Amino acid sequence: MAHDDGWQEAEVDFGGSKLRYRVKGDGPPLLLLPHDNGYPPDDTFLDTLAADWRVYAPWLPGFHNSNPEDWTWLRDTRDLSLVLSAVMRDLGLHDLTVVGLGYGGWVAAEMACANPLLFRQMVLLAPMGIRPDHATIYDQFLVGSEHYARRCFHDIDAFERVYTPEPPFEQLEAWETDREALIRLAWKPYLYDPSLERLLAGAHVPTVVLHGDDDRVVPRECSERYVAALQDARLIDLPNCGHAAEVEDPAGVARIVNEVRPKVAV
Amino acid sequence: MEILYFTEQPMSAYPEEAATDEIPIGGGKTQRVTALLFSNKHFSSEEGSRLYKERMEEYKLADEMGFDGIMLNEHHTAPFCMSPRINLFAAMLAATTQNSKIVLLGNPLPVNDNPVHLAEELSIIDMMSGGRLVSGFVRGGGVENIQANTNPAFNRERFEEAHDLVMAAWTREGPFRWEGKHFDYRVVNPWATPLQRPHPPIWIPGVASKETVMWAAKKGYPYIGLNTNFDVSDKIKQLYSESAAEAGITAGPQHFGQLLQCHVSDDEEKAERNAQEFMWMRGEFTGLAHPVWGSPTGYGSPSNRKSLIEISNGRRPMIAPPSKDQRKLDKTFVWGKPKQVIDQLKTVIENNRPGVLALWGNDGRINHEDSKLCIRLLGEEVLPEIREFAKSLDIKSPSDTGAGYNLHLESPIPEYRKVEV
Repeated sequence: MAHDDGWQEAEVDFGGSKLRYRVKGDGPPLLLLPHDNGYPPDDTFLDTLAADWRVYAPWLPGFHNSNPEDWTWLRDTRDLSLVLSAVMRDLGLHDLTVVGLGYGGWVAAEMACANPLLFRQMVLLAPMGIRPDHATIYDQFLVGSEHYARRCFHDIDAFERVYTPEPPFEQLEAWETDREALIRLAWKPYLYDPSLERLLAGAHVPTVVLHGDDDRVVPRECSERYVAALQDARLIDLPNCGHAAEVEDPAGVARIVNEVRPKVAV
Repeated sequence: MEILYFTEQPMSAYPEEAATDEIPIGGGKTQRVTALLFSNKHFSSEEGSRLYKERMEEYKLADEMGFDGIMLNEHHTAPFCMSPRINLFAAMLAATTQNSKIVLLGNPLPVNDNPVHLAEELSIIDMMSGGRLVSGFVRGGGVENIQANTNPAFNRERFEEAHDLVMAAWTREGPFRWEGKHFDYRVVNPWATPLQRPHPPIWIPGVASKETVMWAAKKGYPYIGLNTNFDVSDKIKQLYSESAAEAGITAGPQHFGQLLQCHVSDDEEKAERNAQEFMWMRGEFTGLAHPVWGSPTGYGSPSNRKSLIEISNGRRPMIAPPSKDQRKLDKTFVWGKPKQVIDQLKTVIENNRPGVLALWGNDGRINHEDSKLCIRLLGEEVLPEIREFAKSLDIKSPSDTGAGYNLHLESPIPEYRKVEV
């Protein structure tokens, strides 16, 4: 299904469970894995990427807009990542650049551990998935979903520009659905997998890890640990950004992604 | 009708002025908290030691005064309830009381990671008490799930599976394997089984969650409304009766119970003063908390989803607990001298026709002497008269009729679940 804004929507069947995704652009293939609280109403970041890439943007299985009732059988983030890997293969995709945002960064890392050949490179923004030793990942399950969404921003005006000062009920409901899915997958251990850090040794994928300098959700230590555990990774700090850095500075984050763009489309 | 004595076992000795921490609860609002994150640095073990001993003395008095049962409950990380493991007091009562049933309303099944151990503990309580255990089960409040780190999205699944496992441990011949979705055992073979056969009666307390009422009804377990007003109690009865009928059960008073707050004194002014103690923590009987803690995502009934989303984001105020005067009007709280209380209780009995009447006698900072006086006056003056009254209305209790036993116990353990070596 094509939309006026150039995005096409499609659905893939996985053993009877339906996964939905959007696609746009003509460049080399890029897989975008969103934050745990989904896509913002404003597609600026995705559209910026789609100018240079062919962007595949799935709604995470079980999360808002992706047939949640189909995916209640998923038990953890690794299950979810295996589904996404299989779907990418079924779509004939390989040599992907993957951009994983927060929770989506963890999903990307799991996919890279199990299927390193799927990816040409990774860009991970403040990825969850590793337990920090000197801090904790902010516990969003103890607060309302809007409170959490606001905390993802360095600049609260930026939040209100994108979501409006009082997000409508439909947005609250979408966040709630996302949270229901996340709770099923990552309530305990809270947003990490104890073996992921060691498994990253097998994820032979060149990686850039980004981290907002005012991220109040994922401690910088998590990003540092990713860089240490991966074979070929470097860390870039993003000034004046929170956890949702791609919303606060879409052009800046897209520029970094473009810097790793292959010279020849694949 | 069976009459129970209940208290939340409040940790009343904490300095109330200490609860000043305000947390954001959405919509730019903040709230004082007395649960989950209210620091236990305000807990005094010395005062705790005194209070536990006083409670035990009061329970023994309730037994001597002829209450049919002593109702216990369990809560965590908050001063409104000092009982974080319901089975501990149950075990002590099993050994120290003589006649009263030990009514657990209830063990929070989902937050127990080992239902087989739970089945064993309950069996010991039943044996030690000479078969006086009534084993109620609950889902546990939101705070209970969070403090135990139990996934709220699986709360109902864990509740039902843990119930089935406890039942199996009690009623099936071991050893057998259990490979469920949430609980997994190589060998289930408890060498402690209940004295009561086929199992101790099960009662289910609640505040009217539809799914729980229907679940209890289909199993024939009495449902005990916790401080529910007449309207809510009527709705519970209707839903319960319809669901029970689908399972071939004709519901009657023996399937319904009612908890209400009920304080008696020998002096009207004192009764009024003590009644005010039930309104501590702004009358919020599970403490002051963030709405998300009370109902974490995934925990609540799907039918309440919209309002839960709005409340948890500050778009709709939390439902305020009714005032003392409103409770008096609703007859969910009665207080006064014995005669005044009897008249009000008769109205409740006449309207609700409960097979179980649980009287929440003491709360807040009501002192030990006044608590004992309340229990004594209830036993000597109130109980005999309302018992007679219930009898005149032909209100049967679960014990009178055998309600509370699972009518759908599965057949013996299937071959494939037997343990071979």
